[in-house]
Parts: sequence; structure tokens; C-alpha cells
Amino acid sequence: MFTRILKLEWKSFFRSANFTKGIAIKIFLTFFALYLMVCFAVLGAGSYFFAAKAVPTVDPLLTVCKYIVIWFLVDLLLRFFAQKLPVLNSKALMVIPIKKKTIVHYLLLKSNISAFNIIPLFFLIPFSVVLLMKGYAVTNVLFWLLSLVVLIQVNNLINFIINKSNLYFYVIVSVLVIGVLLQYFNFYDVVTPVGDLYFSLYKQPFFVLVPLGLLLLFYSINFKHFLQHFYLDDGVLSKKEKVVTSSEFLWLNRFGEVAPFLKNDIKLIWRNKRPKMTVIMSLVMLLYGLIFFTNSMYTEGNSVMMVFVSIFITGMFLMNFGQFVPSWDSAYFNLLMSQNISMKQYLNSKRILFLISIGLLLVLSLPYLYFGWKIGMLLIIGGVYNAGVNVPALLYLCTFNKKRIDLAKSPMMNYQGMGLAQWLMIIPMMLVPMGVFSLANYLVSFNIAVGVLFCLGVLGIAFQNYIFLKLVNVFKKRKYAMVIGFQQK
Amino acid sequence: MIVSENISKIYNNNTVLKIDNFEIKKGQSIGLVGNNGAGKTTFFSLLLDLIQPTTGTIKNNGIVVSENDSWKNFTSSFIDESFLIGYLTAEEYFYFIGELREQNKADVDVLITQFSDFFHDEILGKKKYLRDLSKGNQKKVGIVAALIGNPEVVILDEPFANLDPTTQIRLKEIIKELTQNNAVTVLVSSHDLSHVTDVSDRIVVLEKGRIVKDLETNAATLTDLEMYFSN
Repeated sequence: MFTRILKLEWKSFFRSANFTKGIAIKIFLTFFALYLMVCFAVLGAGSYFFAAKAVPTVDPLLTVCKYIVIWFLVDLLLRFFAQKLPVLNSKALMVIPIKKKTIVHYLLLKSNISAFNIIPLFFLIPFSVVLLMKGYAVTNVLFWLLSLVVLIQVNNLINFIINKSNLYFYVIVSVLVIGVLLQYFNFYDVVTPVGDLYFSLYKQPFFVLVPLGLLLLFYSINFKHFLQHFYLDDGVLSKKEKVVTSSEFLWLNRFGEVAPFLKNDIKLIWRNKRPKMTVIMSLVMLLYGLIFFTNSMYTEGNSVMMVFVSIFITGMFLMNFGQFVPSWDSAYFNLLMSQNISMKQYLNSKRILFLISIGLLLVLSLPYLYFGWKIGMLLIIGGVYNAGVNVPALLYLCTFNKKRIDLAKSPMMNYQGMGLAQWLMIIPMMLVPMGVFSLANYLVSFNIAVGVLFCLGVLGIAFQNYIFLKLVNVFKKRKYAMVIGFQQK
Repeated sequence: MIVSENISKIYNNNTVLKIDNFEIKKGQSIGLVGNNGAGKTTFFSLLLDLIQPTTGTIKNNGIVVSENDSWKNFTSSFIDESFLIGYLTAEEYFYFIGELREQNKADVDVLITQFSDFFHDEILGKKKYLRDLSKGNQKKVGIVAALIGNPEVVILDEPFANLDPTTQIRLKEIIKELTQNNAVTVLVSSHDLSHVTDVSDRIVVLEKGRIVKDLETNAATLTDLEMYFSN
């Protein structure tokens, strides 16, 4: 029976939308995965030497063991957010003559194939190899490695137990914070006794029985739980329904005919995880300036990075959210196209949303004035350039978007909707302004160079209505391709 | 009201729709029937300018739908769940459509209270997103939304499917009321022959993209249709 389910799984993997994605995304994802692997491998191999150098008097393995507990707790936190029990096809399997027990066993085993369980191996294995090369006892190292791998599995299973209640989340955070505080202010050395525990797994190979026991315990707890709750309306398969609080956003009515869309876009952003993430990222990226604006290497020289950061900070929402216009509306695109609205109104609402975002981010970045007027001026130029050049450029690139986005899906590692437009975006956003600036800066001066960017922005704003009407026509032509593309799941 | 001339849609040498000349008079209620793949939804999508015809044009009240958007002022439709906005509540969705159709909140409220029996207390005031409603309830929301703003042309694809019996009967009344004074043109497709003959003055049978029967409804129509489809 297991092999049959595995065959299904094989098909679901190779026929999934993710796998049939464009070649560019595949390459990007492969590189990203390789990058992560190399990072962890280097970290794994390097930790031994790093620990030996940092604390020369102590066995480096013991030093590393001390920090494993922090890693495990953070791992649990990340899992809490991102890892869910895989339940995808189980609804169809429920009514087919397969034992429930088999399905539950299968789901629990399947949960093992997850980046959370695989990536640590890229750390642990190189680290163990270094240990062996440094003359640690072979059996002890292997059993230590085995113990840790088993403990990662235990973490995997604990996550499914605590996932049901936010209470556990706060408990873990509290333990972590209290531990770090105790350690930091030298009240109590938390990591040493815990580190000793992990170290004893090396000292006494038969201690591996403890992690194995834990694994067995948590597996059976999970198994019993899921078996009991394997019903459509019960925890495993049902999704939580939220009670909605509606809001009116009446103040947006001043925007006239585009007001309904602006209200709708705010609800879209507020009520769906992935668009919400783009806003959070835009706010986090406001802090990006701290790296550059506090560093005299950038502020005193006439660095191109200053221009880059100014455009980046004020245009973050434009890039993050704007790149997937109109894919955000893909689920109900047919409605918008057949309702009593013109393409012009629809696009204008997006344009106004972008302009509002640039204005807001500019206001929010005002505290940077603390670092001087020059930075304030650069931010304003960044904002003007974004409004004049990047808004129409992005709207044009959006006409190439014809991939559906499922709003209900989690934003973690979600590349739905990625296509050519997302890659071409780099040209107006980064290459053009940085190129123009560098050239003018090289030929004339810094002030002229930023002046040129400012003028480009002003020109864009001056001709915006003309450009906008052209864009509406391009959109009208591409509408049919979008209607078809957005229906493909 | 609706005139289609020489319209056809071809995908990869596969003709999915080919209708030479077809006209729907104002205030008529038309039932489109046909097996899966007959071209009903394709015809509606062409009428709503969601797909482009390979040949020919469709005019809605004299306006060529692919050239000018103004037919949208008086045309409303519910084809499938891609006409619903999943992250809105039913009320928010109605008000959104109302705003697009230049109806204020009070107008929309008046309209939806007329349909309170349609909703069985399962939709309004439930504080649930549309995506969390059942298929049948989603359909009810979509159908009622298509009636907002006094449209002159109403297009409903398979409105009876997924509806409970009470609502099916109520929907038939609604469609009859709409076409009573020849004010509203209604286009309905359905697999349910008895419902569709009940509400339509005229039945058009499509098969593999072509019109094979075009009947004024009378007492014998249902038997005719049943005969036709049982072969």
C-alpha cells in the first residue's frame, strides 16, 4: 500500500505547478538551494576551528554543544511559522479502502522530507567529518551525529504537537528570551549544563537511547492524535475560519472613482498573508538606510550606493507589491474585466496606490534627516524618480504578468506569479538610475548627477498622463492573455 | 439587444463555436442548453469580451463589445467563482459591486433585503469571507450581485447548479419578474431542462459549437428537448 501512495506522491511532485515552472525560476531556485547548502557546509566545517579559537581552553565540541540548544529552540520557532503537517491529498484517500493507520503513518513519515530536516545535515555532517579528522573517536562521533539527527526528528514531531496553540509559541519565546538574558547578564550560566547534556551524547554512545526513546514517544503521541482526529471537520484536515471585522475606509472616498479599488486593495493587503508580507518587508527595508547613512565611507564620498538606497527605500512597496500587479487580482480578474469599470480606472487605482506608498515611505523615512540634509535631499530625489520613472516603467512591465497568484497560499518560499517581468524590473529600478548617476557623476559632479535623476523623475511626472494613456492601450491588448493565464492554476 | 454576426472561436484547428447569425430581442429570456463542450460558456465569454472571437463580432445594444467598454454599464453577469472576491464578506462584496454600478449603500441594502429569503440567514451578517462559504452559498451571492444596479442584460451561467430546491424555485420567480415587462434581457445556461424551459421564452440548443435547435417555448418544448437529448 505504501508503494502505491508513493507512486501518487511521485506524480504529484513532477506534475505540480512548481515543477513545471519556467526555466529561469528553476535556475534561480537551484542556485538558492546550492547557496544555502554551501553556507551550511562552510559553517559546519568552520565551527570547529572557530570554537577552538574563541575558547582555546575548552574542547571545541563542548563549545559547539553549548549553543545547540539555542539552534533547536530557534528551529522550533521557525517551524512553528512555516511547517505544517502535509495533508494535501489525504481527503481523496480517506474514502478509499486504505487503513487510516497507514495514511497517518505515511503523513508523519512524509513530514520528514522538509528543508527543516535536511538543511541541518549540511551542517552536521561536515562538522562530524572535521571531528573525525581531528582524531575524535569514530564510534563516539557517529553516535553523537546519530543522536542529533534523531533529535532533529524529535523537533519535527514536537512542532506538530505545539502547532495547535499559540500558547506554546510564547512559551518557547519566553524560554529563549529568559535564557539569553540570564546568560547575557551573567546571572546564571544556562548553556553550560545543557551543553554538557549534548556533550554526554558524545561521551557515552549508548546515550543515543535517550533521543531514540524521545522519538518513539513523540511519534506515538502524534500518531494517536492524528488517528483520533482524522475527520474532515476535525483538527487535521479542517482549516480555521476567522471571524471578520469589516471596515469601511471612508476617508478613501476622496479619491473619487478609484476609491472602491483602493479600499479593495487595502483589504487585499490586510487580509491575505502574501500581500501583507510585502508591506511588512517595505517597512523593514526602511531600516536598510541605517547601514549606509551611518557609514562615513558612503556619506562623505559620492557613492552610487546612496542613490541606490534612496530609490530602494522609497520604492520598496512599489517593487514588492507592484511587481505582481495585476496577478494579485487574478482570482477575480474576470469580474473586474466584465464589471462596469474601464481599464483606465482600474490601472489608475493601481497607479494612485503606488504614489501613495511612495509618499508614505518618504514620510516614514524622515527620521533620516537626523543624519543630514544631504540624505533628506537624496530621499526626496529617490521618491521623485520612483514616482516619475519607476511607476510607469513598472506598470508597463506588469502587462507581461499573466501568472495566477493564489492569495490563500503562504508567503514562505512562494514563487507563484514569477515570470519575465520580475527579472526585467531590475533595469529601470536599478541599472538605469545607477548607470545614469555614475556616468554624470564621473563626467560632471555629484550634484549634477542627482540633478539629472531628479529631472528624469520630474519629466516622468509631467508627461504621466500621456504615458498613462499609452499604457492603458497596451493593457487592453494584453487583457485576453491575462484572462487565460490567470485561470491556470 | 444582442446581435452576433458570423461569430466563431477556433483553438488549434478545433472549432469550439460557430454561429452564423444570431439575434436576441430586448426583454427576451433565453435558455442555452447543450452537453459539456457545446460552447455555452464560450459564447458567454465572447459576449463579455473575456476572449476574442476568431471571426465575427458581437454587438450588445449596438455596441461592438470588443471595441468599446460602454456595454458594461447595463450588462451584469455571474459565470463562475472567478466573479467573486474571496477575501470580502458578502456585504462588502455587494457594496463593492454597488459602488462600481453607481448605487449607494442604501440602494444596495434595499435590493438585498428583497432577497433575504434567498439567503436563509446563512450569508448576511455572518462575518465570514466569501472563500469560506459553501459552493451553493457562494453561487447565491454571485447571482444576487449580478442583479445590483438595474442591469438591462443579465447573464447567468448554470445558475441552478449547486442551489437548494427552495432557492431554485425562488430564482425562477426572480428571472420571470425581470423579464415580465420586457425590460431586462436574461441569458441563462443550464443542464436542467425543466428549470430552463420554465424560465425562458426561447430555448437554443448548442451542439459542438453550433446551434442545432432554436425554439419558442411552449407546452411541448420540454418533451421535445428530452427526446432530443436522450438520443
